[in-house]
Amino acid sequence: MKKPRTQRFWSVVLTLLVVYALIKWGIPALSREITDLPFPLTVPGTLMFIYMLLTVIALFLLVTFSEEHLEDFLYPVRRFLRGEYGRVTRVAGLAVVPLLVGWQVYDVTVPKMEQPLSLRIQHPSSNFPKKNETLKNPFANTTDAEIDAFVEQARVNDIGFIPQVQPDLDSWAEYSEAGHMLEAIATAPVRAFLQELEAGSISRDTARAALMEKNLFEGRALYSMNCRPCHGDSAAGDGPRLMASSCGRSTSPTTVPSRPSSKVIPSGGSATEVPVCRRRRPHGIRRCPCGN
Amino acid sequence: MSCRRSFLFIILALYWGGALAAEIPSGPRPAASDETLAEGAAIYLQRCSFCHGLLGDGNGPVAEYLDPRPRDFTLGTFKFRTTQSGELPRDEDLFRTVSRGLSGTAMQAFDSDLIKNGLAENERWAVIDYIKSFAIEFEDPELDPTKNGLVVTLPQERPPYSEALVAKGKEVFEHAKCWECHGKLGRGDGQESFDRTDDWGFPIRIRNVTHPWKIKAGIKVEDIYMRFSTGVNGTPMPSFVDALSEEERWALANFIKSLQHQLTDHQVLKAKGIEGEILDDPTDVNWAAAEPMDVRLTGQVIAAPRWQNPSIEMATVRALYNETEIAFLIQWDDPFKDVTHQSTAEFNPQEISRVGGFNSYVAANGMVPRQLETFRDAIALQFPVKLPEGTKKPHFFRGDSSNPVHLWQWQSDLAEAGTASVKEFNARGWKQPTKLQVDDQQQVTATANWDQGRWSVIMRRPLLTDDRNDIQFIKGQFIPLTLNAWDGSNGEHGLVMSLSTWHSVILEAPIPLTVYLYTLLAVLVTGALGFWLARKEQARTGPGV
Repeated sequence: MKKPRTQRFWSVVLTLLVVYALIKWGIPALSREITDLPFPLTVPGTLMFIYMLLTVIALFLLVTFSEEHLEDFLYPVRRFLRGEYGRVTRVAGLAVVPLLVGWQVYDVTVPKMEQPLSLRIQHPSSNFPKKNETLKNPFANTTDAEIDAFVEQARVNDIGFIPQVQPDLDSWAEYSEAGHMLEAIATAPVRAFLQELEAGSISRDTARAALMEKNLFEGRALYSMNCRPCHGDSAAGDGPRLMASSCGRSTSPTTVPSRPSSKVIPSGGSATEVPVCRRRRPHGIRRCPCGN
Repeated sequence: MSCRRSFLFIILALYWGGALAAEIPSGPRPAASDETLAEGAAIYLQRCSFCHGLLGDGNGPVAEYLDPRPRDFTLGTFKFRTTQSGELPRDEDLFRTVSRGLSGTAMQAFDSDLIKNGLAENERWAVIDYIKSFAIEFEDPELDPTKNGLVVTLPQERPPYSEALVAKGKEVFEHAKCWECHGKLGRGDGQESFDRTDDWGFPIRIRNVTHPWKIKAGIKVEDIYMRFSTGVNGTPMPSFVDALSEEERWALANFIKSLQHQLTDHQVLKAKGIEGEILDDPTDVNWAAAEPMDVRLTGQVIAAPRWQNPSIEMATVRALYNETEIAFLIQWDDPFKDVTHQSTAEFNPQEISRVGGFNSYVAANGMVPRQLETFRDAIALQFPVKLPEGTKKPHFFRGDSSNPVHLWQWQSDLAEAGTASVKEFNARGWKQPTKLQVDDQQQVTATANWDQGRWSVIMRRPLLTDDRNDIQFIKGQFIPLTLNAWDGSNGEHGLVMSLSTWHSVILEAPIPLTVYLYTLLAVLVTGALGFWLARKEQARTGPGV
């Protein structure tokens, strides 16, 4: 049996609607799944425009592929114009379309009272890795020499912590009855390391893990002092200080530069230097939270 | 109950259940044990110790930069409870605080439903077990509020919020003398001097109850009720459970609720065009009719010294314009009228902005003098010098080298002295000092008035000037605008200030005729086209089918 002759027209309409829906609602929904953030990512109007344009062009090619395709497509349109779906339908259709067009023209030309948006969404592939992005975090990639130095410090119970955390550790040492300073941060890797220290045979892997714990402890303090108020407890852009401003949640990982924040130690590489969070343009031009 | 009503009840119960999910545990708490204590200790080390300290004494490395400071757990003194004044908190009180955080402080929510990487319910209970181990008071059964019954409950009768109830609450507010501290309008301006401290000797400010985001432990009527029924342990805020009856306190809670400012949520300020003179009186009808815009402000944390404890977090702006000039009315709450300025007391930014500078965050109670009569109050409007093409604006913090900004800074000490109180500056980024405009290009004038904890400043200027370093106000255009604010008694001066990001002001102009013309044209053309197509189709296949 021959297919109904209206099919081509409706499949064109359906395709347009499906593509529109996928972009308008599908992408934001998918972005929530992928990023696990409590809000969807915005879809720029230009993205919608480009994809709809591509769809329209593709459908145009499809429809004009042959005379038969074109006739099939125009069949319901012609029937409508002839009034074969009913006189009332034709009049209604011919009246509504100009009104819709007029409404759109009005919408585009009337001065709006909403501030023009200036989103700063950085497409991941549009930036070739810059110098900072190829840096390796020295604290995540400790050298053997650094591990050995740490072990030596542990042996004499004189770990070189950064000055920011020292007062708290000193108070702790005064009040606790612990033998070793590292017991202040006694997570499982540190406990394993302390056991090996007491037994006298220390493996580098255990020491590396303990050193990582020590670095994390210091990193948490530095992060909480300098970054957490805006960037939040989990760098999700939900810090308490930022909630106060109209930036709201714009410091999410997608708009904050996604470079690894490498703590560059000034020359020397010793853990007694104060580590610095040194980016090329810290919180300055073009990197401010609202993308302004 | 009929089917429909029980359905409604279930829906409401679910809604309220959902709304309160964060702060109410879903079931009885797991019993404390060595395992929960160990789990709690591990979580505490990772998530809490940098503020609350390894010893739970509120002295972690971050503490000195915070105001209010993190809780010292070792004394068993907790502010936000449902127990009587001076008593320990219930477990549920601790759970509530850990789950939803304390609004306006560095204590953020830890409920995994509210934040990314939050804590699950049992993890929160584990951490609470560990926290309680810091204070020996928790081990004493006589001090356990669930055993000694020294709790505070909500009243049995809780009439809903209504005007009559609020009026009654206002009477209670008057005769209980809440205004002695909180001020007649609740702006925290009741006391002239600044010498209040908490139990640890740190300066404490009287709460401005009109700012809902600063009410730490919840803004629902039930929460407010609890605050003055339990008293806020460790602070000068007493309990009124003996002085006022349940009914009176419920009415009072509703009155306080009625004082809360409802924030506007738009970022465009519509300047209203009027005929005739723009008056200097903020109560004038024209000002009342101008639509306000609340500008939220946060501390300036971009340039050292980074300021994480600003006192001005919101200002309300209105704008009026007539044929010749534009005027902005800016209002913000400040409990102290600071009109003296000692430039010798200003600190040297160079000393503070050392590289590696954890010192570049100015400690709340340390490096900055927090006394009256040291620094003045001030407010500034900032515009770009040129209207932006497209959407690219200058950096909101003093612009940048290719995009200068124009600042109108009002200074309260000049206003008090009766001299011209606004100085116009230009800036090209925060790294360079601002540049004062020459005398004959200073065209902004201002009047100001401080009343019951609120400053009202009206700045005005001709719409257009011939200074190419000035913003020009053109109708119908979005003109970016932002604010900088300084509260002198909070030690704010120079770059230690609050600021906001770009908002806009637009001088409302009537809709141009061309909009209507184009629309009409579009309708007619499309209509004619459709009509013509139908005709053509008809003609092609012959008359009527």
